[in-house]
Amino acid sequence: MKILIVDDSRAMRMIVKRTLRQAGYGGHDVVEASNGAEAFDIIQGGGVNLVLCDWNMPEMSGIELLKKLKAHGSRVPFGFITSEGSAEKRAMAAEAGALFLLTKPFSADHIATVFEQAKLAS
Amino acid sequence: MPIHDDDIRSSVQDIWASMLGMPIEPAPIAEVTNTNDQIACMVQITGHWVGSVVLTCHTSLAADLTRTMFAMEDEDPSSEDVHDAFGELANMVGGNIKTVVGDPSHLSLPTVVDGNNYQLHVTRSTCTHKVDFECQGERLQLRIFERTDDNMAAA
Repeated sequence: MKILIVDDSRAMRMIVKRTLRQAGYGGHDVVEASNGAEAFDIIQGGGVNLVLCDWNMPEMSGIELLKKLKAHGSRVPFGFITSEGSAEKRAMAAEAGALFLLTKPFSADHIATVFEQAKLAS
Repeated sequence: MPIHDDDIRSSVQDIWASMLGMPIEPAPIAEVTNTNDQIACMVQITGHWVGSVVLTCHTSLAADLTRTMFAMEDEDPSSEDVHDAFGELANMVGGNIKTVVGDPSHLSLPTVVDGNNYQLHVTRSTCTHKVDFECQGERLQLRIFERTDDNMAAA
């Protein structure tokens, strides 16, 4: 499985990778992008099985990325890992087609739960 | 919904435990008068509630937090890494407070200031919450500034 982590913070990308390992998913191929525009190009290149994406980013936000992907017919499983945990943002994410919205801080158990959700959807 | 100091404390302790595996304990409030080697990070919340959340600590603590976050050994983290790590912590704290104040609201990207003898003013705002912590023997301060200019709180 190829997992794309999208976050403008290198620290957060590292934490997500570390938590994936702690949750038992260390054997997967992990690629990184620092904003939505960069992520869009990687996803369009093919092979990505799951996107774990921040919401607030420069260049292109996570929700803009998701809407652009849907507009281009992408069906890649997509979830948010973000500080934006409000009901409004959850509704926006679900409406745009996100599988889940995981709020920071998160644990290995949280990651495992959403990972299994994504596997069922892929 | 009103912001309570106890919620801020538990939120920060939860972030430190989950993201850093590091204890952080509430401490008595103190004002830092010497800003030498201090780092501050601010995130702003705009919406029906408008304000700023500011985290401040000594650069040595910020470096420790960065080393832990990046799983570094004894090496000195770059200032870029410190800004990134400290900014992300402030972003998470701000995100939790944004959830408390409710929708509609928007969280800004973090702004980091460090150096010597600087003063950070959040204009047209009042400091409504002061919560201090001790981590690794160093003080970490959290301040919430609520915008008092009514024209800005109409978004």
